[in-house]
Amino acid sequence: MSFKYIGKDYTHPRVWEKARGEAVYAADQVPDGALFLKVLRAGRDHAEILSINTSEAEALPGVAGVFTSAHIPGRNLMGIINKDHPVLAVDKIRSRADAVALVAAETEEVAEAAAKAIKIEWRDLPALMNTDAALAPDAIKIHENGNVLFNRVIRRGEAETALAQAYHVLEREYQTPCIEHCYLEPDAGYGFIDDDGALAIVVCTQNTHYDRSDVAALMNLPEEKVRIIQAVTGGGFGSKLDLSVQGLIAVALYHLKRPVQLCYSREEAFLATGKRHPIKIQLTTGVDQDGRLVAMKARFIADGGAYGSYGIAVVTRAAVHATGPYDIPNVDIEALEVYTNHTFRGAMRGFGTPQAAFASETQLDLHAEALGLDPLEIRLRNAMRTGSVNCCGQVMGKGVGIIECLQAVEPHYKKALKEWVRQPASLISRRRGLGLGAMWYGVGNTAAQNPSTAQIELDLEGRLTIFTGAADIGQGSTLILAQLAGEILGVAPGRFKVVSADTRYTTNAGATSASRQTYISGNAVCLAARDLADILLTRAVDRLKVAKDNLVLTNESVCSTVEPTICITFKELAKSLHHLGLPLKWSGYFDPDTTPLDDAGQGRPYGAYAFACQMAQVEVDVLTGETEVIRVVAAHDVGQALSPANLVGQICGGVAMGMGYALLEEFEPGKTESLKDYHLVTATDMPEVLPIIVECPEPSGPFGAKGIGEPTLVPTAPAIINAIHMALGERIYELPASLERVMDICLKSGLFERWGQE
Amino acid sequence: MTNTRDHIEYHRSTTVEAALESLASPGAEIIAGGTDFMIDLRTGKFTSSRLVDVTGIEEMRRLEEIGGLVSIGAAVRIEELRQSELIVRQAPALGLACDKFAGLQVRNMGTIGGNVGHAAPCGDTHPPLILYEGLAEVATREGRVLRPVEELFSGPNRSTLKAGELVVRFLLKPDSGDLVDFQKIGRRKDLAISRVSLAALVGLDSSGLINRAKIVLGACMPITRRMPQTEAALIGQSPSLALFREAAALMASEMIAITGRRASVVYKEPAIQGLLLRMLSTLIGRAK
Repeated sequence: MSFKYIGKDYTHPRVWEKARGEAVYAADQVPDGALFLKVLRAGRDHAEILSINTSEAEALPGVAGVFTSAHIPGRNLMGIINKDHPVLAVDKIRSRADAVALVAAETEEVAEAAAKAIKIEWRDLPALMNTDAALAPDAIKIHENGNVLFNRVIRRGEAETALAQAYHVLEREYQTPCIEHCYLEPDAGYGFIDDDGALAIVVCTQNTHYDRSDVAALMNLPEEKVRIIQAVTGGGFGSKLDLSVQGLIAVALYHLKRPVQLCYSREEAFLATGKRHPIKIQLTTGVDQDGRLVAMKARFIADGGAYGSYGIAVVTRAAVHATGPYDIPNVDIEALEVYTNHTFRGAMRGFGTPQAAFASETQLDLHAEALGLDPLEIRLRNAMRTGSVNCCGQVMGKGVGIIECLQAVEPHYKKALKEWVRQPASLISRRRGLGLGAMWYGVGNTAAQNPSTAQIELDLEGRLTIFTGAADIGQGSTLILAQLAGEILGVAPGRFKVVSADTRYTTNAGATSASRQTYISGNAVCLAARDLADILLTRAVDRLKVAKDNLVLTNESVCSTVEPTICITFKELAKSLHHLGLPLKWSGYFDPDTTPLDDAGQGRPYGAYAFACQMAQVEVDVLTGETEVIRVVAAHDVGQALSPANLVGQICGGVAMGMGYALLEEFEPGKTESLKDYHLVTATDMPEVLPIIVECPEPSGPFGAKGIGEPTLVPTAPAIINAIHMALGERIYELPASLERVMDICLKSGLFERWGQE
Repeated sequence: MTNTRDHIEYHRSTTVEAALESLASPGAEIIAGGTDFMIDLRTGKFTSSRLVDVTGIEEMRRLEEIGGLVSIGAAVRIEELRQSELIVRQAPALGLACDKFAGLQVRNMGTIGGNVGHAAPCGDTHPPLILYEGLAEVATREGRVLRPVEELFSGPNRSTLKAGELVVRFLLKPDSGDLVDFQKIGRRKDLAISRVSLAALVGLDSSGLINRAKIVLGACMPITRRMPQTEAALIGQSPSLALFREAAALMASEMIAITGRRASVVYKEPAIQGLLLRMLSTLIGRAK
């Protein structure tokens, strides 16, 4: 199928302003005279608040207001899935990041001084800093309902029996670290009273409509009295799904009726925003003589920190994706979300899937090794196909591209195995290895309704506007949606005005998360565009006296395919339709075909799945523990490529983030609290990345498209860890594979000692 | 942003004498590239009331050869050293250290004097400066004295330089050998703080025996220093894996004698041995 606008590269409207440093973020456009807000945070892990004395702070010159939970007129609880997180603490704090009081002042210095002048009497409680402590029978309860927030169970078939009869069974334990998103723009926003009296908040966010509903509930206001406007957003990776500054801005704005601003420093963004869940994973898998997986038993214990945030979704996704993109008939999976007294953990690119993939992809390599099978071969033997039944009992439809992804990597894998891996490394103490990582990823929220709505309007001048609630946080939805609408309406993407993520002008598109905007909002836009196209064609039939079948939309006109000079412009059609009282603004609505999961985790969690396989080539120095990633080949089934350059960007970015997860990143309170000590991969660390775009169209996707945002990160860490194993013959079971951990296996395996004698 | 200060006096001097005048007032501190200052300001560590910028002092910006010595002005930027043909020729280990130093933006601003003055144990210029038996020309209002670079450090981030003292330049003794190297281990390629750094210079005599050895270990002890027992163990010996393993083990025990068994030693004990082996093993089988 050939397309006019999709599958082609266009420059995203924001690319140049971002490249030149001209993009105007929330912190750059604070209105003159806005008060500065400063949050007083608990600074201790778990404590009761006996009293808060704000009188000294209030008396400081320049202080406009000091607020505590007593100033919140509505529901002082936030959380997109479960509401358990006070915007300002009531009676007790559950992590050092908890906001206790808020100061508004004329200058930043006064705000800081006032925050310091607030006196709090505490009674410290035992702090539960890991899941073992939180799950102990006599552990103090962090929340009233106890320390287990949620347990996701998935059972299908007879896992115990199948394991007992399996040819080869493996049991291993894995641990993943807590990591910070490190989006470039620290959380920032400002608020003002809108011309209609609404609390208007301009903020970096991934979901304006969720922000509005929680802020309205917080302030006990009708939703139309709260307006959330997404500012240019410098990345989010899941963290900007939570309320950060929004609720705090609302409290001060509500009481003071003056513009206020709250911009986190990098240190505050590290301290106070969500993190990726550390998860302890116990995995037992069994294979038959041919290496086919017959059963999996998995136990995930996720440290969710002090509040739920997206935690329920994280453990659910970890459980659903535990099998990897493989056909396993018998599963017994449980995933526990546990409260502790750490800063809360929430959504981060992949929602538990990167954690699960590290374990399951390692496990598969272990089976391959035990059976003398090639790691690629064991993946091909187990890969899902159309008609496979996944662990939730869902029959996989068309658009299962895992085999195609594996096959796309195969020639590179075989060549590297034959030619590269056996060559001596450039430095003689280095050993080479290559490894594979594969993944599947359900697009959209798990087993929950998550619709998107959109509108397209043709005005009387013939101009087109797309209205979408979808927040473009840098991933490119603004461009993608225009390409899709353009394909249907025969209009170049650059000709659309896109109004996005302003609750006053747009309707709910759901979160920019779960790799869902291309698939879900893309479909909503396509439906609106088709309705508009249809009425334009219908009207053109009448005006041009040409049958519909012989009409085509092109160049903002409707033209005859038989006699191309017979044309009528959109502008003329708009006037004509308007004259007849017919609508020029059309809506689209799409919600993926899902069902809730039952008690055994059975149901239809997603409407579409993306697939991928990556291969990593690494060199490991057995004398120092240094690991260098030399090359990553990344094959991703995207259904249909809409914007290839965007896909390549997502793949390279995901690989960089996956490398950090594999080798470097670990958030340790008190140690790695800013970019000085928390080490991200730098540009010079990046290996050669070879992106391969695989297209197995998803029938329910817009022109067959799926999603790409999160899948790019998921296979990278397992591929690197498997490559380290090939290089050293020993395994890493705890991320990251730091200098220390790699050195440790070099010592234990004798490679360090034996070096130079072989 | 927190910890910004309302009033810091800023003096930009064009002569050493004027800088020393400005530094004479209590609470004055030297600023050169400002790459450490920016971090100290942000974290609240910087509490002084006056900054004296020395990057406009021509004498401190010179990089030249004088009487067989390499003279490096203390305000010469790391990137300038990295690109210097003189350094490549006469003090290549320093060039290698500058090549691995932080990232380009920091190298473009940071100076060699600042790297020494801050006395961080992981300062990447320290091992090569000591390797080339560097002397610091320290100016006070009383006059100028030459002090060995290694004597400028008294502990982690502690310098023996006193208030009112200014390093004008470093004098390095060019040296060459059959092996001249600097290597570091960091967690990543750019903007990496050295976990371990090592500078080495080894010479062989006509019969292939080691007749000179200088080994300087950085980032592992309170201050960067030469490892005399390790050096002595190499002298007079023929390069071999066994010899180098023995020397490496000796270096580890020299280090531990100073640091004790701290948590980081679990990694550093083998890593310094591995790094030394990796460097010295290139001498094995080298025909003279």
